Amino acid sequence: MTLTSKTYEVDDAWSFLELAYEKGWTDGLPVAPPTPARVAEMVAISGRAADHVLGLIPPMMGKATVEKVAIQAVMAGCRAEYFPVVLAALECMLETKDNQTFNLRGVQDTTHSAAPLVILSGPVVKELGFHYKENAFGGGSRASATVGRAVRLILWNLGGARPGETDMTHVGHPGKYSFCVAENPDDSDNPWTRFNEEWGYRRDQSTVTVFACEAPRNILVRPGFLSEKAAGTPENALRMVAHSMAAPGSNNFHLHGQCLVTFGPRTAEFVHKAGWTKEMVRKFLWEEGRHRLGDMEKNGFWAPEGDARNGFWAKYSPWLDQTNRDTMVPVVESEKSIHIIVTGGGVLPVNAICNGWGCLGGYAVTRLLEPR
Amino acid sequence: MASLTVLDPTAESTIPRLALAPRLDSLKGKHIWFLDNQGEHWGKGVPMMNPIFRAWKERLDRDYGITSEYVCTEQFTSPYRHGKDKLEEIAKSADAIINGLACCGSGTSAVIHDAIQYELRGVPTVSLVTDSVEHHAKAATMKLGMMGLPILTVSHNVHMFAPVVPYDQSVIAADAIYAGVAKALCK
Repeated sequence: MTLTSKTYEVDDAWSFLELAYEKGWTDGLPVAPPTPARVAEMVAISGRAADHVLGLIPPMMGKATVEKVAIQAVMAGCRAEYFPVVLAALECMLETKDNQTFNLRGVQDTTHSAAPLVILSGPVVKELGFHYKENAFGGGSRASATVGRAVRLILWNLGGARPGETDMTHVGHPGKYSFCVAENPDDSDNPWTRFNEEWGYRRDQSTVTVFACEAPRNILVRPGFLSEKAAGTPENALRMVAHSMAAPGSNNFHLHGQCLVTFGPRTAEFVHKAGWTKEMVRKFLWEEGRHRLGDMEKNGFWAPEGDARNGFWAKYSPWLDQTNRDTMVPVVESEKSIHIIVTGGGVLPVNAICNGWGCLGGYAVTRLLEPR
Repeated sequence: MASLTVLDPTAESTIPRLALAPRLDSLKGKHIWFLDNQGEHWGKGVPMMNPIFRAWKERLDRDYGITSEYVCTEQFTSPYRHGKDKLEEIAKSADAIINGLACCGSGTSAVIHDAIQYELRGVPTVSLVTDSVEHHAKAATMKLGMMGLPILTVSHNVHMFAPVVPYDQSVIAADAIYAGVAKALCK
């Protein structure tokens, strides 16, 4: 195999790290040395030529060849078998089917804190060891940490995302170092239709989804509300999630778009046992995750259309009746704009919301992961 | 002694060095398109150009007898803000383009991206950005390969709070940089 990247000679891994900092090849975290042998192994497992071009990464429009992407994966610490996941994630981000899908240029440049989140569903979760229980969004799994990290290095080294120059996010979030989560594949924990099935694939097929979003925010449902003895109902539990989903200040609140809700196994189990399907849950969140227009106006969150205070920071779906103060304003575009997975620990009914970038882009895109 | 060979992770830049469109001899009698990002919000639900563009249009009418059209968009964070078909349509009918307002990260790169698309189609442009994102706009012109793409800068405060800034104040801000419009679009 012929690799064409420029080579450097260094003394050891530590010397490479110093070189990487000097050259600006990392955003601050350490990186592993991309040796030709490791990179070649990565390329080989992809089944594609090293010089095959996957796309151009904005804003710098760096050419993402399989070789260059493999270098990022090695630097991130990926095992070779993770590489197809990294490639699929990249293909999701490069989706340009229409002008409002992922919008990678916008995601890279925006002042919002959205970062591409990789979501795994299907057999790949267990096969490669993505973690889906305690610390689902955090550390603990090499696969989760390094796949998310590889995506970030692609955006950094091939896209040229640099804070204050091209990456204008005001606060960012820790997921801009590495952002990956997996759906719980265990029937004992996840009673609902799986994420891959919702995208039209079979449960035994693996999918990779990328969705640009804010950092996850913890939503604890008080355990008592999951107790039938204490007259807990699914509505009790889900209303807490819906209201958290609709918290003022997110881009969803101002600009609708999409969001991701993750349910912990305890909440999912309780709601499921009461006869609620995932579709029913989504409908409930859609209907309850709203604010009354009149209350928004009272709190200074909304003004009539054309009012100077709105500026351009309020974009609601056109069907919304903004002349009636009793209109209940949703925080996403439609019921289908609420993505749901089950993930996380199962001791307490802890869930999470990842608000999206609003109607500006970062919409979830999914790819089938071809069997190896 | 070196014992480890490593590969350079950076990519070959695909950005060519792009040339500006030829500039006009004069603006006299020319047909100018105003590409506005959020124009419909300045009026009471009625599409209307932002105050700075409105002020420029009035002066350009008076000084050069221009004809003009405008288009606004809500999808201001994506390249091809007004759609690819609309871009081609505008490029065919426009003698020059006044483009903007860029005031945020993704919106600025989209404004610069679109300006370059028109320049490549032979239509001279000038893009209005706020001082808070001026450095980002200049970086975008470099990243997209068109150094020297004309940019005019206005105070971020005038723009972000434009709906509540008295129109007269917007006119003052517009007047202060008005001369730059003809300078950017003409030889």
